Amino acid sequence: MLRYALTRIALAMGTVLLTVLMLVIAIRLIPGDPAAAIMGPRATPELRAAIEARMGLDQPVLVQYIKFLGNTLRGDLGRDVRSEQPIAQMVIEKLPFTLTLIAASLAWSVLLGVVLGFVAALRRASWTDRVIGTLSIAAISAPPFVIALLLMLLFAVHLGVMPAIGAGEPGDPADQLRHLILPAIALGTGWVGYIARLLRASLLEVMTQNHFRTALAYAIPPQRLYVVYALRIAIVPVVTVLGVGIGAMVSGGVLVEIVFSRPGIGSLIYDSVVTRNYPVLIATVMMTTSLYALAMLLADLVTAILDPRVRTAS
Amino acid sequence: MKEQQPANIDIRNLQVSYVGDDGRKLLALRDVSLTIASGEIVGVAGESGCGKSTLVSTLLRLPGDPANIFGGQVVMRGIDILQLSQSEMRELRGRDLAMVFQDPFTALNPVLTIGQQLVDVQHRMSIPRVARRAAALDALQRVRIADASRVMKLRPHQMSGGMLQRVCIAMALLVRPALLIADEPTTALDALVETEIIDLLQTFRADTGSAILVVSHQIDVLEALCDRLAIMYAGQIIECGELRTIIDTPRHPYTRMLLDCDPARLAAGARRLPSIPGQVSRLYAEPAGCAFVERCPRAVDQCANQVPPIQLDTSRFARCHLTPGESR
Amino acid sequence: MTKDDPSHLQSARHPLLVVSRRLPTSARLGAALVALALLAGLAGLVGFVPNDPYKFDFANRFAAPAWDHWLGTDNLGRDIFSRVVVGSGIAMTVSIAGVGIAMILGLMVGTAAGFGPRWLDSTTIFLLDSLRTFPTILLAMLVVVIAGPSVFTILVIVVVSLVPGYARVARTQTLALRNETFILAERSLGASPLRIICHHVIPNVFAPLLVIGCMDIPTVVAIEAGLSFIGLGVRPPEPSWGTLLQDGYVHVRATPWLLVAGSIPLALVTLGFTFLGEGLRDALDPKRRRS
Repeated sequence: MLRYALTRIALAMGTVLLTVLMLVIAIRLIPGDPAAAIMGPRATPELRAAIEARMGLDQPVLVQYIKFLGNTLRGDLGRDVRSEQPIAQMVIEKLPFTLTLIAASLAWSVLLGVVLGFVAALRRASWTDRVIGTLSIAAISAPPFVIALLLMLLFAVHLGVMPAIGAGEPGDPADQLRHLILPAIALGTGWVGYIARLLRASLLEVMTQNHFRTALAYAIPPQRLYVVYALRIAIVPVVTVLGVGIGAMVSGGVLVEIVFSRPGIGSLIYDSVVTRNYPVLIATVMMTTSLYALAMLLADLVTAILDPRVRTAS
Repeated sequence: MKEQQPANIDIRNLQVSYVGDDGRKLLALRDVSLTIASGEIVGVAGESGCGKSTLVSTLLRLPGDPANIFGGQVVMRGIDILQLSQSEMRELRGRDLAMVFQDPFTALNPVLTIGQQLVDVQHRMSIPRVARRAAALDALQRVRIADASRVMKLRPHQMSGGMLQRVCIAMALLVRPALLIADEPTTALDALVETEIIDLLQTFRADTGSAILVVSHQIDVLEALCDRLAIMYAGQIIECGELRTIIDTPRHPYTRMLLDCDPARLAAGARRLPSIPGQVSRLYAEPAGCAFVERCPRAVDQCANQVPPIQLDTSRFARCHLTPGESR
Repeated sequence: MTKDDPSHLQSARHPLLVVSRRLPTSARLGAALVALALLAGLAGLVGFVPNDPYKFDFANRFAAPAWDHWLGTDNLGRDIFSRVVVGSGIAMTVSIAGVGIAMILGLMVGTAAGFGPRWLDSTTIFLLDSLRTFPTILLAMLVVVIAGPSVFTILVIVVVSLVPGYARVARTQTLALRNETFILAERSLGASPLRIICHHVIPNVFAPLLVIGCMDIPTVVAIEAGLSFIGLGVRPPEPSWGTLLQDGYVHVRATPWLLVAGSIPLALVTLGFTFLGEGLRDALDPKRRRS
């Protein structure tokens, strides 16, 4: 198990490093003069040179990359070019909002998805199964930002019962919870449908296997039979998919944050793209990719715990 | 140890059909009768497609089994278990009925340890968990697994086929069933391990007094193991009786050919292994005569037109038109 | 007596016929929706719409649906329905082109990785996996920053995010076939890798790729809509569904119809292609599992 964990950690780090490298190269490919783009009409030659030096644009890619990595490990993500604010601080301020949104969306969608998938598999071909199936399809039929827009239209604008903007008063958890509801529903809906279908298919597959037949032949009590003998194996694909899902939630979260004008990493990235604020862009994208890689790593580790066969496979 | 009364299992005139992939009704078992007394080992032999797997699954009647049982009874302790509901059948499974399956590699749950699974099958016994673990250890030792406490912590993918099959037999030992069904127990194993499994099944019988039904296409295994032998063809038992009687003086031409094909009894080295030409027929309707007529080297006119009679003898019966003299 | 009944041989007909007979209702519904979407897309491309989608009419802004404007008018008085139809042209073009190009590139990369030397394979896999860990929207934003927003940019993003998936399928199939005895036999007779790819790999990957491609189309439509929504994709006045949603968002208190008009076609297209894709997957699956 330890060996497996270490291998996966090394792989995750490798992927992040590679992604950031691709990022740095990509930024270099931007046509035009980035320093001018950032500074705009106020770009005096001294400022331009300062920017270039600070971003390391005048040096070879590899040097820039290593410098950047070195700085990051020390916790220095640079300073925002315009506001002079340390980027690390900007990111840390916004990160909790995004994390809460993702956590809330994940929590409710996984819970509901697993329950629905479980019930659908056990009551296969019944009326319940068909209803769950239809609902699952309906849930996946629109991307999160569209659901966000429709929810906003219905509940915030039309009915006026939910807040449409922001994350709520700081220091007021109840208010923040209220502001979390619509975005979390929007972000999680697609996942409920997806996970329900995935788990249903997975459970049905497990129940056709020989070892399940043996358990039936010995009349293992239903509770233990379906939860320990079936679900524990069937849930593995769901866990694996969650790793990817978190990345998808980051993507979807960006748009949902924009729709609800919610502060977070997503809107930070969006703003930095629109204003061509490259230092912030690099830092936030790296942060996000690391989160994503971490999520996939965790998913892999949990999979290895649930299904010991995986530990020896790779 | 649980006190469980051994019982006889009396299969009478069993008739089972299936709806095949093409939508047509396939006759899988036609008027199958067989008695397995407690403490007796009965073997069922035949090629693939003869119905022996259907026989096994009909006894267990697992949920989801698509078979249509349209005739006959299976009587155990005075009750026809075919009439029982699924929840009543659940009471029998893992208590009066136990099974050892063909492929030991996939028969056990891959994520749970052997110990956990052996403890789980004792779910009906009102003894504490500690006692169940002890019983599991004991069962592993009785199937001659050295280092049983280490094996308790292993998972199936870490073990060999022979060991896994022994674990499956240990599992059945723990419930001390009235009937143990072994479906091709040695088919997936190599020859050396085969002998051990045969040995273990005989020990099982000696220990528990259970009735044991062994289904296999390997005649040599059945010969080493069984007290009585039944030969199946196209959904019927075409010959059945005391083991030595059948093996030494087979009456039905099919039995004779089956025995001749057994590689274990080839007298001299042969270029080509003998085989029975043709394939087992799949029946969609009761035939007018004998189902074996097309492949039988001794068929006469009667065979195609008249259902062969059951010829009773002291220690066996056979469904054939030919008299003992003619079928030699 | 018991000879095999030849009636079962009827199934040896044209595979497409067999497949279509086995499609469940949901897949047929999906096929109908897909056909509708394609027709609408075609209409949008050629301009076969009831009203001019670009014509302003300030006197008639935010009109409710009526006979002259089936879905009402937007903030500049333009006919929403016509804009939706033109938007479907954009959505269908981008998604089909994107998936198509990605499939071809993916096939090339995947077969090259499968057939080539091990170092090529390992490097390719590593690159592809790294690409997969990059969330699409971030990738999109990066590309837009470099190249500026346009339909072409979207295409590039879409292709880049889809290629790893297709490449993997192609690679797996190539690797599986590479060591088959009959392939080795062919190669010993002088068959070039290209021939092997065309004759053996492509027919085998065709079905799974078709299914995946079908299910990827809604994803691409969503990416395009999302990017256009935040202004990084199709630019106004082009009526992508995303721009419609953006207008609807900005003017949400004035009219709900823009949002509705932008979301319903999106949902229908997603449902249509998903149902069709699943139906195809179950019908083409050799194991023919019925759930």
